[in-house]
Amino acid sequence: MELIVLSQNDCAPCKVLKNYLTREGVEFTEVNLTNLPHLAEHYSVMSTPVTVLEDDGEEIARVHGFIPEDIMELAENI
Amino acid sequence: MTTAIYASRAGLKVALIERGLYGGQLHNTDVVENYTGFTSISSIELSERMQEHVMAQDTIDTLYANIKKVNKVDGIFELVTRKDVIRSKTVVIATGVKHKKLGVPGEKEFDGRGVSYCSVCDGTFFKGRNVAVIGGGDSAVESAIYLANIVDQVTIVHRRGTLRAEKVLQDRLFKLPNVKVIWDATVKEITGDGKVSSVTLEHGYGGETTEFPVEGVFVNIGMIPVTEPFSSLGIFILDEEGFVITDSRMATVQDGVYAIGDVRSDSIRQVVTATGDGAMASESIVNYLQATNA
Repeated sequence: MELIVLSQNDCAPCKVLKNYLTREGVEFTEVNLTNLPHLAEHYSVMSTPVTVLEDDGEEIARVHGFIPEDIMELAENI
Repeated sequence: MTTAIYASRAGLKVALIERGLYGGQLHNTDVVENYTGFTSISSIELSERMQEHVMAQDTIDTLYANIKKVNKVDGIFELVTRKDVIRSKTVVIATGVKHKKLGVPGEKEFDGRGVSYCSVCDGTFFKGRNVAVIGGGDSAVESAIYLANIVDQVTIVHRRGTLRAEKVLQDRLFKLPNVKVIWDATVKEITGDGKVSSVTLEHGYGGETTEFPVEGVFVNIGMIPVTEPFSSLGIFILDEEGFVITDSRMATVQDGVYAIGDVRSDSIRQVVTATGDGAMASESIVNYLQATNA
């Protein structure tokens, strides 16, 4: 299982989310969608941050926005 | 955060419960230029500094959680979250506001997939596309002006025949070549396949409906206070728009319950006034606890 954070450069909640996960010791991979519309299309994302739980490339669940309770529930599956 | 800091310094034990971003609506703006002591500071830096200030206090427990409901049992408030029950002699409601929703089919389904409440946050995903902005106030017009620099075509959908936005904003809006307004129309449904492809508009009240193709729907129809978790307290006085009524010392009609910041009736919804409210609430709580020997 892998936790992926979809972010953008000028996205304040994205920075808060990354800081939060780092502080909580949660491993994640950041995918910065700035200027990468094909990746935004791939993930069907038109708003950030989005936290995606993937299993071998397959999406299991996602949380839209910075909702720590829900994000930590995803992180417990890693 | 300010109440927590003041209360901690007064020797009280504090639980600070946050459901999302410390600073709340502060994150809807890039830069703060009207908070005393800072000519200009980014919203994220200001909120981080406030959070650091909170974390530096020994007697504040911070946790991320969403309050489901609040009960009062034998004079003690019980704040129920998904995992815990937090008990306290007093409660400060600093839950702020959230974006008002259209409440139409498709809005929830396409949230984050074409439906957005923040043009500054999400605008870049709509580069070269056609979008609709719903609303007619300052935030809707500011949103349309911002998006006009990014997208191909902006269409404001407004339920009235005139905009409520400031004249200076309207003047700026109507000079833009790629902005138009559909007057006297309301959104009845948002449709698409995986992402937004159109909105259904009703023209006039009960009039004909048309399908309007767009790839983005920016909803800017105002803010509403977050008070649902506290409705279980029983006597709870709200104003006509649902904001919590307090006296000048931030006390509500319910003993031991205070409200501060954007959720409070008569708040001018500024960082500086929210922090001022917070300091006042702490003072009131200290006095209340002394008076009740709690």
